[in-house]
Formats: sequence, C-alpha cells, structure tokens
Amino acid sequence: MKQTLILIIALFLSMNVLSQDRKQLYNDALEELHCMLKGSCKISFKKAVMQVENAYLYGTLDTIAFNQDIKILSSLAKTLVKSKFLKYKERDSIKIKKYAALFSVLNDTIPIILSDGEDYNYVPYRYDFEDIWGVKSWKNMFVSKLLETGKGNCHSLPYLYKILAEELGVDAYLALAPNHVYIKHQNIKDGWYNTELTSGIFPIDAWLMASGYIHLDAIRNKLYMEALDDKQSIAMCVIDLAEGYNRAFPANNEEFALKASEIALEYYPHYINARILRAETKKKIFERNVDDKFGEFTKEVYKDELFKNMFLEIQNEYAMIHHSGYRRMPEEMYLNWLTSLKEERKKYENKKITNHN
Amino acid sequence: MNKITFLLIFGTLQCLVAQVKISPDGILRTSQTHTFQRMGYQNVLSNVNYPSQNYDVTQRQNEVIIAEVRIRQKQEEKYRKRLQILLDEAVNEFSPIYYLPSNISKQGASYYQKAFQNLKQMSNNSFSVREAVFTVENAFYENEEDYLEFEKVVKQTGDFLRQKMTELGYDSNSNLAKNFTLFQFFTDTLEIKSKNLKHLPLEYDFEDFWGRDDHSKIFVKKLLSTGKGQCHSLPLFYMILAEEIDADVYLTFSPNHSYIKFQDNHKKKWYNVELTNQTLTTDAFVLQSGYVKAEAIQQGIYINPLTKSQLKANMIVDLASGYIYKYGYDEFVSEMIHEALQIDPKSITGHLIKSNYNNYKVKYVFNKLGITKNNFENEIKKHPAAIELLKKMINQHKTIAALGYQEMPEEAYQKWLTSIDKQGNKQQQKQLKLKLNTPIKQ
Repeated sequence: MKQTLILIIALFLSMNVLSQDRKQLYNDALEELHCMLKGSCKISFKKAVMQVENAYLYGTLDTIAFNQDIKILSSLAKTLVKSKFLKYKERDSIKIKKYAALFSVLNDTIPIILSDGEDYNYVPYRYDFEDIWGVKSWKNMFVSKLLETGKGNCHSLPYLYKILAEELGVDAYLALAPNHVYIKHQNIKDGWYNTELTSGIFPIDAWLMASGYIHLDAIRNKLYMEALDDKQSIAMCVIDLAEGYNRAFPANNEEFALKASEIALEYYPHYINARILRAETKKKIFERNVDDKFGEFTKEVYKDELFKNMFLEIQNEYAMIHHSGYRRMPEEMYLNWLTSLKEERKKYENKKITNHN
Repeated sequence: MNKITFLLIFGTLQCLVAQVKISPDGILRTSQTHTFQRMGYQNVLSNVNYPSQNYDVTQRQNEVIIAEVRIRQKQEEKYRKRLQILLDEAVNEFSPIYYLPSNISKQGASYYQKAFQNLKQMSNNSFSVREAVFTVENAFYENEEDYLEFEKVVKQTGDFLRQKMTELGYDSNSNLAKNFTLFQFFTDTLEIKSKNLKHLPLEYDFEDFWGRDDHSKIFVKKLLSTGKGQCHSLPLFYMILAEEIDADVYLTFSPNHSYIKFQDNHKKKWYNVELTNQTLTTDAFVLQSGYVKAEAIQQGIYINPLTKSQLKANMIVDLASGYIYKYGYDEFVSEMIHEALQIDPKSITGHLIKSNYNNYKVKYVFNKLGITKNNFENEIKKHPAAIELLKKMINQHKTIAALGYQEMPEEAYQKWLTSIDKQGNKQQQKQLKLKLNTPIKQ
C-alpha cells in the first residue's frame, strides 16, 4: 500500500516535471519565433515549423530524421530540375523549373533507376481525408507526421512545399482560404497563379471566389488569397504554436495564447486566425473572471464598469471579424468545396500553367 | 631572373605568414586591427617629421598649397563633367526626339482639347453625367451635336419614367422603385396607356461590341439612334437617366466590361444590373468569368462601385480613347491620362492606356535614335533619357500586373456574357416586384 502510494506520488511528480518542461519548450519556441519576427534571428520557415512541432511532442521530434527527409526530397527536386523539360521560356524559367520540380515531388509518381540498376517508384504524398483539422489528434497537422506516413492535409502539405522551396532557394508564398492553405507563385508571363497541393492542380482564383463560400469583403480585406511574405508565414507558425499549447494544456490561464496572438498580430495585423484566437482567448478570460466574481452571468455583471468594458471590447472584436468578411465554414461544407476542384476540374483549372509542364 | 621572382614570392609569402598568427587554441586569427592602426599612425608621423629637417617652411607650405589647388582643380573638372552630362540629359529631354509629334493641327483634333478643358473644369464630386458624356461624344463628332436636343430626349424619357412610376403606384422617393422602373425601361416593353406612349426594350448589339472597327459604336448617341447598345453605352445611358430621375446608382467595372450597381432603400443590399443580357446578377457571376484575380479585388479595380470623382476620371479616359482612335498617340494623350490618374490612381483603363502610350513612345524614340535589337546594349548607354523612358515603360507593366489585371480574350468575354441563367433571374424579378407591393402581371 505504502509502495503504491509512493509510486503514485512519484508518477505525479514526474508528470508535473514533464509538463513544466513542456511549458518551457513552448516558451522557448515562442521566444525563438518572436526573435525571427523582430529580425534579430535569421528567418527559417523549416526551423519555425520544427520548433512548433517539437514543443508539442515534448521535445522528442526526431530532428535528424526530419532534416534528412527534407534533404532527400530537396535533392530529388534538384535532380528533377536538371532533367526536366519545360515549354515555358521566359527569363525566369529556371525559377519556374524549380516550382515544377517541387510540384512533381509532392504530387507525381516518379520512376527512379537506382545506382545498382534496379527500378524504383517514388510514391508522392497523399491527402489524408481523415481528421483533416486535427480534432482527434493534433499531430495530424504536422509536417513530421506527413514525412513519416506519406499522408498530409492542407496544413502540412503546403508547409512542406514552402520548406522545400526554401531549401531550393526559390520563393513560395503561402496563401489562405477558409480553413485552408495553398501556394501562390508569380511568373513573368502569367503574373500570380495558384498551386493547390491537396488535389494537385493549379486552380484559377474563381475557384475560391465564385464557389460562393467566401464573402467578397473577405477577399477585399485580404483575409484570404493574399500572397504571404516570410514574416507573415512565421506569424502563422506563432498561432500554430499557441493552438498546440491550448491542446497540450487544455486548462491553462490563457496567458500564452494571448501573448502569442499579440505577437502574431503585430507582424500580420489582418491574420484572421490570430484575430479569432485573440477574441476567443479574451472571451475565456472574461468568462473565468465572471465565474470567480459572480458565479454566473447575470445583469449584475453589466453594472460593473470594468466587466462591462471588457465585454464591449470582446463584442467589438467579434464584430470586426464579422465585418471583415469572415464566416465560419463547417467541415462538411469545406470538404464539398475541396472536392469541387476535382469534380469541376475543367472549370477551375488554370490551363496556362498546366500547359507549361 | 627566376631567383628574383622566387624571392619576391617568398617575401610575400612571409608577409602573409606574419599576418596570420596561430592562437593557443589552434584557431587561425589575423592580427588585430588596432595594431595596424597604430602602425599607420606612426608612418604618417615619420613622413611629416622627416622632410622638416631638409626643407624650408615656406617652401613646404607652397607645396601644400599647390597640392591643394591641384586637388581642387581635379574636383572641379569632375563637377564640370557631371554637369555636362546633366545638361546633355536635360537638352535631350527637350529635344524633339523625345516628344511624340503632335496631332493637334489635324482636322478636328482641337475639339478634343476644348472637350478636355471642359471636363477638367467640371466639379469632381457633382458634375452632370449627361453633360460629361455629351462632351466626350461631341468631340468625336467635331462639335456638330446639339446639346439641347440631347437634353430634350433625356428629359422626355425622365418624364416617361416618372409617369410610369405614378401609374404603377410606386413610391416616388424609393431608390429601389426608381431602379426597378429603369431596369424595366431597358429590358421590357413599357406602355403608358393613358397617353398612348410605348417604349421597346433596348437591345444588345453583338457586332463589334468593343468598338474596335468603329469607335462610335460604344456611344450613347448610337444607342439612342438605333436602339442597340453594348456594355459601355447601355450603363452610361442608365446613369444619365438615373441622374434625371434622381436615382442613386454606380457604374462598376469588371474585365473589359461595365455594369450598374445600386442599393436598396436601407442601403443594406447591393443589386447588380447587367444591361447587356438584361438580368440582375450577383457578384459571383462577374467572378465566374475566370478573369478576375484576387489582387484585382484587393486593389479595388473591379466590382467596386465607382465614386463620382472616379466616374469623372473615367470620362476623361473615354475622351482619351476616342482621341487615340482618331489621331493616335501623342503628348496630349499623356496629358489627359495624367489628369485621369491624378483623380483616380487605380483606374485600370487609364493605366492600360498609359502603358500603351509608353510602349508606343519607346518604339518611336528607339527608332529615331537608331537603337535596334542588335545594337541595343552599346547604343542605349549613350542616351540616358532613353534609358529613363525604358524604365518607365517597364515600371508601368509592373504597376498593371500588381493591380491584378489579366487580359480577357474576346471569345471568353462573349461566352461569359451568354452564360447567365435567365430562369433564375426571372425569379429574382418576381421577388423584386413583390417587394415593391405591386400585383404581378402573368
């Protein structure tokens, strides 16, 4: 009996230590990302993503394997650049070749002849239709999970693409759609164009705009469809980190999320997910304060000047989010929209880009 | 000889070795900078001290002065050269080579100058649309049109619309009712039985709908005389009539196209009037064309209702296109577009004309200077003003790309216009009629 008790206490203590460590990892990661945003540290999207995933994984992310996988993929892409023939002949054709190679690495089955003369088929990454938003397991959003299993979602696939682009020394811009991330590129001939990794096609903007799932104001206000620069992408990682923190510590004092969203918004003020996270976090803090002081939400709360102001501030944040054109998109609707790309491929495919390949 | 070279090489090698010290931790480090600095300082001191023992003080001063004068002379020479280059550039800028030959002496061109002055003088925020449209079209017809006649037509049509509204029992202050009547005027046969008046719907003219062969095809005058118009004349005529019956409407652009937007009485809901295929459309219809990029919406070049001053800028752009159609590009085109872009820096048609003007000018100037593809690299260096011109042209292309512009081919345009689902639209009109509390005629 005594022994079990000691064991339980020991277990409890060790878990406590573990969670302390994890919190430290989270704080360190936030520090590191903030450093990149401030410009004191060199921006590396790969490093940022690894920090985010490592913190959630109690610091057990296999960085060597991660780096090696990235290295293999980028050298595969580099080989493809050499052997690829492209119809595109503008001044920036080398850049476009690299984009095309990256696209192949993520989407095409590539036959490779190994040094010992054996044929080998490189199998590309696939879209994982299960748990697309990481509700069951937050790890499903991770690039490391994508590398391990070969299956990813609209978060990990474009992230991997951006990491590989960084390795190849070409720019790739992440772009947002409701609950979705895709890639934007620019070339001399066609200007901006989209690369959609979940279904492996180049859709025209009308796919997002005319589908009816996005409010026009949301496009006007750059909530979506804006080519995001490197700092904005790091700001996205900051919010990923905060969301992971909330998943890791479901009952926390909201300090971390609030701090993270403030940092992200400083560098990407119209980042919709950061604005939502900040509003939700403020709401949680408010609710807890109400619980502590009043027990339940009654008219009494409104009479308190401090609480009234807090409430109005939160209300104002939600109103601003609504006015900017944000609408929540349920999972079913999202999947319909995503598959519309494959079903109505002809309608939304950017033939100009497809024809370059 | 070989020995000497060897010694020289050996000597330099020794120098190199001397500079690189190996620190105790085994890391190669070069000598620290402050020791070099000190050495340099000593050198200077010894140089100054040494001659003082041999030369007279005044002589030394003279030498210093002479040296200073020489330096100054060299500097002046430099400045003079730089000035000469600047002067050359300035002269080049004013030389006729860098100006497109003016077309103003050509027959009828002066009417455009007068029209431009007239438009410029109109107030940005409260000009009369009818007057502006008339000014643009009248310049094309060399001032031979009769404004009073035009105004009479507009007034009579206005009376007709007002009577129809009374007959239908519409609220004469409702913006929705006014627009609905206007919409019917364009798309239906309207009758006022008590006065035995009848108006047939205005049709869309599929022939040369962008006015490429005949510019007057896009004019309101052509619409009035034939009853057939296109995506330029129909919305403009709608604007003119709206002004007459005091309805609140906005001209709006989409790729190669314009249409009408208006709001309901509470200013909550926007309606789109598509006059070419006579329907009320949604924004999604415009987006479905596939030629609107997100950047174009973010920059506000399409789908945004034009403000009054933007509309004025657009009238100036219209004037410029008429001028270009008749006389081609010259500096007057640039003057007009400059004015238009000052008022509306995001006018996409304005930017496109500016770009065409730049392209034309670069071609013209290069031709005059004898710059060809083959001698480009050598020749262009001699003409700084030509380089500037080329830079301007490229920058303008970038500006247009940044605005999210994308060219829409004619076939795609036509296909898009005819793609609208007319059935769904009838439903919408019925709902509108219900909203206006009037019985629906079956």
